[in-house]
Amino acid sequence: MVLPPPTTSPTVRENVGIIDVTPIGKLDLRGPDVAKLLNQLYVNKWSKLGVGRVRYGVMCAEDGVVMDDGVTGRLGEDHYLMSTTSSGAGTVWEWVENWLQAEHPEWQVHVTPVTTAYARINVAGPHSRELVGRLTGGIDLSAESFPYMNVRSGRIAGVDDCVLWRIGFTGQLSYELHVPAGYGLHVWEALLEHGQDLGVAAFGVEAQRILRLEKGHLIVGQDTDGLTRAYSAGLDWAVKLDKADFAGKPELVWQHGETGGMRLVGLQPVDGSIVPPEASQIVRPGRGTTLDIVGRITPSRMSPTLRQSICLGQLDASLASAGTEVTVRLPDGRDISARVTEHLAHVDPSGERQQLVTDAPEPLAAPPSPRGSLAARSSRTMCLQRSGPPEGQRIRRCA
Amino acid sequence: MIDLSGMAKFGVRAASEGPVARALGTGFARTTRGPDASLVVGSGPGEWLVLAEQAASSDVRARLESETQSCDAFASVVDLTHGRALVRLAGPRSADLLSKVCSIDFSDDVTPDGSALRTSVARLVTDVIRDDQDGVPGYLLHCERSSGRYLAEALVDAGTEFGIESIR
Repeated sequence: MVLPPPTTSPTVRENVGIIDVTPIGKLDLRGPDVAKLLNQLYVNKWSKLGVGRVRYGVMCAEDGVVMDDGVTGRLGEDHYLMSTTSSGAGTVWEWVENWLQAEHPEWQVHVTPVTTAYARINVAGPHSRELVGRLTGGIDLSAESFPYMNVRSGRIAGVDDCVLWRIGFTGQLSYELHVPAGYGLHVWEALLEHGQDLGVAAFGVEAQRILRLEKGHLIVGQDTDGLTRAYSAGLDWAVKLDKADFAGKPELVWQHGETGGMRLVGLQPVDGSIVPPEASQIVRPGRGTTLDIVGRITPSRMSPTLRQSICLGQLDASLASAGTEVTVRLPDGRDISARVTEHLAHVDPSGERQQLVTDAPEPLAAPPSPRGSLAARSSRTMCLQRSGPPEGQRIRRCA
Repeated sequence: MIDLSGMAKFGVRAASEGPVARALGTGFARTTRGPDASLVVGSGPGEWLVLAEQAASSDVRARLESETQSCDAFASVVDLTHGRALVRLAGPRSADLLSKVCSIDFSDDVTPDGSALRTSVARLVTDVIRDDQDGVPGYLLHCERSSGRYLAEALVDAGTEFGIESIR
């Protein structure tokens, strides 16, 4: 399949873009034992996460299969805010409650789902610091004071009680704004209005998917499946087997000692004009005239940055070394060659773009503030929201 | 029916029987009025929902944080204002309406003024709070923000035969 290079992601690579990522799951965690809980839930370590810091975490089920991922920030001494995948928000909440209620009722932790309490906007691109800085007051955005993987609380576009994260999924300098949900539209419009001279534009999920693929960031459920343990998801760096315990540890100890299985790798077709469709099988000669399936393409897109097709794939560990050439069977029966790349990231593997240092911006002399009462906003928001009855529900309309 | 989603809403968690519960003045499944006219709802075991006018939000939050901290017991206060929807259903036929979308017995003997329960309303997890005003039966219905419009539409649909009016 040959696709023209998309035109949307250069906005994020060269200027600044904003995307609505509100559905990402959010759990408010409070109590003196939150770090114990996080150490139990995630494969990596949480005991030394300082106030104002953020860490990426991966959760595995008890069979070691990757279950969910996301960042968690420490907002206060006993106050953390966890992000989950959008589709995993409910499952993770139940998972957390299960650990607290059934396994460790002695731990002092309160968990509250706040997914719908915050609108969440990702501001990404070389000009993101400048744009966010125009709308914030009292938060020092300089690279020294607010480095990558940090979180701050404060006012954005006149809205109090916002949470500002320096994280990103696109591989660019980027910020995520958690805004009390009733003011989400106000902040979104303020970003568009005050970033015009910076070339701001909204971008959507397709552009985000291309950007994350260029950066080689994992999507649980696309780059993993129901059998993918942490080491097969390229998460070797995250798994800390020297922790006393965590969900899935026994299975991961076992997998760590194994040499086979699948590995997540970066792949680039040798003919960079061909984009193998997602789920294309990776094959090698088997017995006689048969072919053995040794992997599959997970995402694939034409990279607007590299001007060639790029992929991630699950590949048999024996073929996962950088430079190995593999055969991808296309749906039309043709075979193409693709080469395993050194990193999962196709673009900027060293992370220079997301560590970009720019001048600390000046806030606007008269920052925008929300108009109208919250009550009016709530009514309006309820009117704008799409809704429907739960699955299977029938409402009898009375005469 | 009136949309009260703009009201301030705080979730309080603490041991169901202890100093925080005593300070809040009510337990599971009952309501009481706070000193600042807020409505304190025992919404679950060890869980309270505190509702207040938006203008009093900062004061109520400060009071709740101060009260819970002074109790020297593990407790938390979370601002849920933007994360939950709230509607009031009021009128002599409101119990009849609710009975169409909820299997709870809403008779005065079983669900009197000041009672609170978490149940299924139109197949949606909802806190139902009996809160009469001036002798008129009334119910506050509290659910996740993203389900608010659905709940409102389901109530309007169920209330058509009773002449329901939706007031914004």
